Amino acid sequence: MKPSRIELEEAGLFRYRIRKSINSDMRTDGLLFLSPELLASFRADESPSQVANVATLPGIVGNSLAMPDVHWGYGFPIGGVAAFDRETGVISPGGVGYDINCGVNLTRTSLTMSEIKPQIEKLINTIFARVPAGVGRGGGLQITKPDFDKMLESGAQWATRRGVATAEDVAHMEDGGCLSWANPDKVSARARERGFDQVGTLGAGNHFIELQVVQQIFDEKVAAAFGLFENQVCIMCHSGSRGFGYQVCTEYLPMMDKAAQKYGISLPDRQLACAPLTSSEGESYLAAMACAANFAFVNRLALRRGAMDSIADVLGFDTDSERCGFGLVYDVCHNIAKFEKHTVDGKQKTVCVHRKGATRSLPAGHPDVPLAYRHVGQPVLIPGDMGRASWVLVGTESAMTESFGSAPHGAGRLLSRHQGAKLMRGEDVREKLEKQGIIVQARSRATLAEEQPDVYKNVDEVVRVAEGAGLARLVARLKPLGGIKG
Amino acid sequence: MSDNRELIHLSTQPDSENLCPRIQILEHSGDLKLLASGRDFFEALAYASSGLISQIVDIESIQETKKLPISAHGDDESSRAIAFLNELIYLIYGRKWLPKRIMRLTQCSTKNCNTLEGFVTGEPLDPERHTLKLDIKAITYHEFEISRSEGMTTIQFVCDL
Repeated sequence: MKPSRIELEEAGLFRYRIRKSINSDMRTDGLLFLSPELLASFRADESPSQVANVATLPGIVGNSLAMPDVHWGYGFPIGGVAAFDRETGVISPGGVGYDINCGVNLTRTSLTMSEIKPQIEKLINTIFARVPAGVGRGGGLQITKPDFDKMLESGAQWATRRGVATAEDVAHMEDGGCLSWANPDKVSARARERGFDQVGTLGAGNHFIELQVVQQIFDEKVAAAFGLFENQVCIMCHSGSRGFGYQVCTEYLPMMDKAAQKYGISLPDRQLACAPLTSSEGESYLAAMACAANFAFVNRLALRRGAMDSIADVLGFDTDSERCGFGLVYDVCHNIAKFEKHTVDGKQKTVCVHRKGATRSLPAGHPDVPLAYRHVGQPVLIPGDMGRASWVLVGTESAMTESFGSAPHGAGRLLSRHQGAKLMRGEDVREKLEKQGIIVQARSRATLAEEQPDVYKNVDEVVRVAEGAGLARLVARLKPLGGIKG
Repeated sequence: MSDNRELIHLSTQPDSENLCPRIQILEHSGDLKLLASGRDFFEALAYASSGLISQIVDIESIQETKKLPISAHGDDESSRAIAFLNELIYLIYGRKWLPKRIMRLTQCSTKNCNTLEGFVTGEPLDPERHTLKLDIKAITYHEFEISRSEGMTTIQFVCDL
């Protein structure tokens, strides 16, 4: 389906619908959470047709959804959410992405802006020197091969045994930082080879470690529950399962392509290759995907540890001291597929929710929200670009009814990397950010150009729409002080 | 070798001097799209391979110290070509071995055989001499196209970055 043929029908505040009647293969409607401004930013983007394509997959329940930061992806759009019936539905690697469990964690500190302001440059340089970053870079956590498989099985629990995280940290992670159905037997030797030396490495592209300051609090009660206060310094890490996850996805896609043929599933796009959730192919992918997810949980914990140790070293404190006051606010997946309980047509059902470039957003009282936050809801972390802001929101009840408990995952790309490179040179991006008081270090100047703020949509608008549509509520806006990129 | 198996010895191996006319970088909304052309499928794939490799590393810095067999499987030509290019991605980032030239490509596509195979020359990645410029996650099915016209074959592919 070509994007120009997709009719988007206004369907209430910040909602646009794609009627299933436009295509006989669609099993359900598409629903996009957008403002007119975000809609205008689509230009030649194919994401509405991708939302429609997802709606053709067997066993889809509810609408095929697009979060406010939706943009073009492979198979599913980025910002796409879809839930599938456990018995009749499918699992699609294209609904998870190559970077399995790409996600974000946020660490609070006891430090304030005024305390670290004079040392920002030194802090960033120290993190940059300590944390391996850049294309194909290894050299993070030293790990043995048997231990690698234990990590794939137990995720963040393994990280606590290695001293990379505490039990309290693990309690503040989505699913406790471990997808329990991981099975390393379903992962190839090649995936292990590609990811073996990459645990604790940042990678390249849009991944980052940032020091941020809480600029404004919008909900005092919830912010207090999350341990956030104005002028507080925080650390945000954005990365995923590195080469390990890419290889898992690469290898399972052709298997799913074959499986789709075997089970008679007609695909509008081969990148949507999928298998029934009840099939051996589907189960194998889910088990391998969970290994990659566990890898990513540990990877982000290790990145965070590198940043915390760097800060402690520069300031002359002990990493575990109260003076630093490091504590994990939360760690979210934004490329994942999981079985969850949701109300569908008035009945509680277990469905497989695919979130590709979408963050889980659970309300107060939900059993999967960490105990410490259960009275307020799950932290929803939405990173922005290098120059503007990142946000902390909190999950809502309406997200459960509207979006299978999902919210946006970031700003969403507006311009291609190539266009970014033509817009401004990396060195000029660095200087421009420095004039705004933001210190950036990157292994590659090209990355700075490709990832400059103007290639992204304004995250403030994405967040405004998310709140307006009831997908999450505002808690705090964080401003970048500096960061490292690959 | 069965009758339906084609064999090609590339008379003109891709190198940095003649890459440009055979490989184009196309505008793409998200990642990287390349178009490679050759006198037939094998030559186009060899150029596609060179185009891919040259996006990741300075191809001139790679010495041809070793030759490895390479193979890829798939039920159709597109699947085999994608698998082949993903094999190169694995060699570079997984095995840390830099391919330079693709040689002696053959393919069979019968009910019992769906393989594309050949050899690749290159050397192990040496961080002292080689810098990886770009992180390519995978070659995707998206907008993948093999076209043939007027004695030329083109392969268009999109890399997820």
